[in-house]
Amino acid sequence: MKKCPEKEILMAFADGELDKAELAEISVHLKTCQTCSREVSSMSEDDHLLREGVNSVFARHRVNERIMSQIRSNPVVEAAPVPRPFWQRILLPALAIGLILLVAITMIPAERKYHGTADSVSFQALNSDATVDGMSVAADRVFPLSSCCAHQLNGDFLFVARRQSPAEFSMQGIATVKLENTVPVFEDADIELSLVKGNGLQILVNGEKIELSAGMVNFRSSAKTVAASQTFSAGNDPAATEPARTAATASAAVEEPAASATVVIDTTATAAAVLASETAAATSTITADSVEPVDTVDHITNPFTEEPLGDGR
Amino acid sequence: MNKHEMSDIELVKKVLAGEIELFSELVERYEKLVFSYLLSRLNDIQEVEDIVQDTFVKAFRHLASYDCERKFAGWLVTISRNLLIDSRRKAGRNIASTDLVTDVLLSDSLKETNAHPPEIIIRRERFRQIVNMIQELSEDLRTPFLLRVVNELPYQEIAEILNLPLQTVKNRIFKARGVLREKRETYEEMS
Repeated sequence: MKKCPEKEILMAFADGELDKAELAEISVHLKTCQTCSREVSSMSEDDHLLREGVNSVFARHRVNERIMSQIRSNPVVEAAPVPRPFWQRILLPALAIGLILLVAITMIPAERKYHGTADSVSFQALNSDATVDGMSVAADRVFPLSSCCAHQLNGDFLFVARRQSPAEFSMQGIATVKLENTVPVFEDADIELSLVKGNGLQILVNGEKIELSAGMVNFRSSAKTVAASQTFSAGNDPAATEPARTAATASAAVEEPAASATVVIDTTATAAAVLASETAAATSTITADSVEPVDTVDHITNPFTEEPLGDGR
Repeated sequence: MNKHEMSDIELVKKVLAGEIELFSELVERYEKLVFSYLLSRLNDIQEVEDIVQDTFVKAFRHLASYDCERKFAGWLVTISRNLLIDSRRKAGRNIASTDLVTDVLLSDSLKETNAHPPEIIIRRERFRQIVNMIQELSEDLRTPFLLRVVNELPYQEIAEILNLPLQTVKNRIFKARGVLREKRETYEEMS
């Protein structure tokens, strides 16, 4: 008998993910190997049982009628953002920025701080798996972020920055975080960030200045790299309103349709090269070879375990 | 053309053109996907229902902003995830529930089988074990695993929906199966 295939191959076989040649090879093997055959059968049976169970629950908890009823009662689709003409989009902001810079240079003697900093920042875990300084924490416990005390975070967290208009963003991953000159600073960070609420906030990640903005779906950064791959978009960019708008724009528009979006990374040539062009703002990708692209953005909420949920459940 | 034969994009265009009833076809196609996505992330079946409803209503309201180059399912999951985050922030909403997903899974899924021949009892017990084992998986592993098993989606489609690299999806499903296998073996040894 030939050597048994890897378990991953058996899984792919059970999931129908093998190509024809592999499929034929594994099928032959399964005819002669009871162990592998049992493994595949057991996997398929469990899948079938689970699928049947969930289907049955789904059938009893469908809300399709409720959805359509709500839609029929108010069948209004909100209009997509209207593209503004070039002169409005580029020239006016450029003139305005020029004017502001002129005023700033001539009139303001004090050291300038870039906008979007926070008066105070707090954070809390989004689920019970998260740790602060190596300790599990209750997800409803709020920690203030201070300049005197850095925290090592591991897991999913929600940050709330308070200032004139508050901003909230989520972080997933591992980082040491503190507040420095009213700016949240993430060091040794291997994280993904996503602005949840507000118009934007500037932070430092692994020494890079990042502007979290409403149009930016996620920002991923690794301590081993300068910046990692992320798609972002500009909500007011004309390209964002044409048929070929980016996915990020579509999803961003749902939450913050009117906000503009830019990402600024000052010191990285690679990232800057990608980011510099405003005209390319509708869809850009900051790439970096994330060594292990395993953990990304999708687990922000509590699991369906029986453990108490972070927000008091 | 029959609505069942239309692509998602065609349906979206027609809904935007005023044929709002065709939105029900999009609900038909993706309600289970959104349901199982939320099922893997929430404790309360009532909240699952509410967010499924909110997801589709919000998708309808913002249909004009939908990017036709993106998968409709992925867009729905993004909306769903955002609603989930929003829900988490609203502390008042998170009261202890009596409609725990696990309980509902165990009770509702077995309602059809009133008779108790031995094989049904065995299947019930097996299902109970599986549900309990899945509970213990981390959310990272549980979500792609359930999308795979419940919706029978290819890995590539799961990757697109969850906005994850394909290899990450494979790894997570593989890891989930590995954990479940270990738990199953432990359970079998004990029994």
